[in-house]
Amino acid sequence: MTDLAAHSARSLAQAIRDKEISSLEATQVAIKRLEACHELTHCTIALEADEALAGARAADADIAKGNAKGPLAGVPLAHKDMFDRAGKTASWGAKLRGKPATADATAIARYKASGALQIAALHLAEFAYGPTGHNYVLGHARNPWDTTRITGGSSAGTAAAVAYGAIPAGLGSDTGGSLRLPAACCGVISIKPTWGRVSRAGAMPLSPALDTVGVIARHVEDLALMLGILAGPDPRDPAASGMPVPDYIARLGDPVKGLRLGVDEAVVGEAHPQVQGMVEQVAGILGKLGLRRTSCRFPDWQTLDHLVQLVQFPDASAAHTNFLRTRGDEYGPQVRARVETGHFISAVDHLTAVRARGMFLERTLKETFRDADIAILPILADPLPTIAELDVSGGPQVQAATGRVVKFTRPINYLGLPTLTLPIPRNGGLPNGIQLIARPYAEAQLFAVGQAYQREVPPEIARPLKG
Amino acid sequence: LNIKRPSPLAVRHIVCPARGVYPRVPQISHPGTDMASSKDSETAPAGDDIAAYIDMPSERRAAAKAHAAMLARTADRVAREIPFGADVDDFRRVLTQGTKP
Repeated sequence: MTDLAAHSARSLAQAIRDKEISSLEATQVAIKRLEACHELTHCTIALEADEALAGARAADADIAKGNAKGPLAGVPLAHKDMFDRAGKTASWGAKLRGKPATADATAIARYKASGALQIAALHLAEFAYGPTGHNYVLGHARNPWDTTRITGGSSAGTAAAVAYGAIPAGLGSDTGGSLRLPAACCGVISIKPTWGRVSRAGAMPLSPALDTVGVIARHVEDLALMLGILAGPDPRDPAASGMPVPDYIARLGDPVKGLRLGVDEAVVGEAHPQVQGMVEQVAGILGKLGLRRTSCRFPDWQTLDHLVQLVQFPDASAAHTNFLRTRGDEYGPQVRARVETGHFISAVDHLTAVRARGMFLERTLKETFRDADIAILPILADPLPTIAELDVSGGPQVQAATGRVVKFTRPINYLGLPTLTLPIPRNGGLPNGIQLIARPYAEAQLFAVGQAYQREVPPEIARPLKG
Repeated sequence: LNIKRPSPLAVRHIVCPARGVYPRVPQISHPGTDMASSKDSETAPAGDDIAAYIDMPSERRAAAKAHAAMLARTADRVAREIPFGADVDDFRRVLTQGTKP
């Protein structure tokens, strides 16, 4: 079997266009790899092999006629199972499901227009409402580096499949850390774009005020390519921004020397000492690349953490009110407990948090980013936990346990800022990651830094083929 | 002028541990819903009525209340900082304007 795992989606697309490999061969390899990955990690909800292989044959036929469909023509991808696809019913990672979709989600439609194939729908936390990869309805996801460890969530299957080398990239979403946590836990990368940068039309809502569609991959050039495909206004999502979309690929080589890297030592100091060490290690590598370390200070972190909960809990509970009242028994215990919690928050408190959001973002831009271009923070507060350690189900400790996991991620959703996840140098140990945070719509700047970082810390595959 | 003022007894006070003492008009019941009855609202502290329509065990109900009360303290503090004219759309405006230092 050819190991295509080292390819980026971009280089695989080029190889398919150049007929060095057919889309059919690439798709067959991806399907086999995904099957093996699923056995190990439980990453797949629905394998769609026949459909993908038919798409691959069609892509090869188009390429033979000199008519490649787009920049990802014939490239096999797979995505978190929360996006509408015409005629299909997304699982949402849940027992409770909607009706078959009448149209593709905008993100899916834009991938299709770029020529990409979808070989599977991938695992997620129930209703994307869990940060660890636990799913009490469909079964927990397992980390491909160490199957006793969490994958992170909620975009668990995408991160596991990318880390394993089954697919080069896939879609996820992030409401409180759901792209960053699985990317960090599985040793891969992700872009959580600025809120509104990518249309959410046809994506399962969790908390629309916070929901952000993004990408998990191994190569920064794939994040750049794919955000370029996904970003831009959409009449189906009024929140989708009309801000110009840069040529992210062209900007990958932007100079990073002299960029100011802000470190908020008070916030970083709340992480486990080993995690603090990881932040220092990555900051050191970025320093060697020419970034200049400075101090920065976020607004009170606990206040931000409370405000984002005041936004998220009622927002999510409102979406689930009908299900909770009529089919409450069909929820898994953890999501049910979290959905219930939103009903205990007053409308006034919720709106206070929503109204304060502009003020806190303004304060962050004026103060935190006054002396910094990019800020660095941990993602996980602790070294990679085991599945058993965080198996709290819906018990009374659920808020504390999940709150510790998202401690460094969900406040950033309140601020809506773009965030790039980078893995730490693993050196044979367990994976983990850090996040780089930038000003609104500065994704190109993050990609330039990430591209430079990957020259020092190249992408890894959890289970490369032997021989 | 013969203005009829409400009797002081018409305004009840509820005590919410997280928020202090607030004047409150008597609660209106909503026929056709399974919310707590008006009789209940006369006798029970208002806090006990929260999300009464959700069937959940008392342990989880207590945990949810405690969590909401903790968050409410932050909301209370933040509410004192927000300008009176703050709007829910401020966030999008700042996001768009905040692209450059």
